[in-house]
Amino acid sequence: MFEREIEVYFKLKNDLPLGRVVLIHDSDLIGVFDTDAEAVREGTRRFGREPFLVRQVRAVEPVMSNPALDLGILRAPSAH
Amino acid sequence: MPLLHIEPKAEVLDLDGKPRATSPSVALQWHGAKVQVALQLSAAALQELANRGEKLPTPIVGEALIDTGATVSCIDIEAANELGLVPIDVTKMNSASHSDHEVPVYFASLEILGMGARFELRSMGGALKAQSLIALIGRDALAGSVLFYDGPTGQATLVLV
Repeated sequence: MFEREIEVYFKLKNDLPLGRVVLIHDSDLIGVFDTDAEAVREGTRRFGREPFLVRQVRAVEPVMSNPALDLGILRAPSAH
Repeated sequence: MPLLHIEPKAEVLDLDGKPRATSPSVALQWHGAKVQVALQLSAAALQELANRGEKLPTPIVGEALIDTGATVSCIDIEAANELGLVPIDVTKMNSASHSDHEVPVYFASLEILGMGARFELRSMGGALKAQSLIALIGRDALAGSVLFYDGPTGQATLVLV
């Protein structure tokens, strides 16, 4: 998912302003925004329900963690 | 100041097979701090879809678990599909059980019912339906909140500051 958009993101990354949010569709950088909401608004206005990439420009790409979901222990049996 | 008091109930079967209520402390341990939420597209996406003359989805109401172990909030992928919510990104999820893997990222609105609190967040997609949940409320949403977790009395309180 988003292979082409992510390729464009990394190609342009050094020239993009850190902390701002980019909107990329297919091979095109559509715009740079202050917030996710602004980028999603513009993306939806132009492309409707077609997928478009919205990503904050960061020096290091974040890795998320969600131990309970990952380990399947959201509702683990209790000792009681 | 929006405030929500959480006091889950739970039952177990006694030796005669009759259900009886557990102590509040056990109920909170079993169920965790769960809240009723309404999942919907972001306000911006709804407005633009309306401008395009598209039919707008009805919010999906269900339970969400407050999960202080989650970096960001998570929404159920099936619920996202039902709403017609399209991913806006992918991210790597750190995993204790296998190598990092990619998950979809959505921009969605999550309203905590009975509290008057609505968040618009980048949320990871996950398979939550089997847990009877539509969302996990992570530390991104909690960044603007105070959560009191009182294990001995089996109560939790969420305050939006």
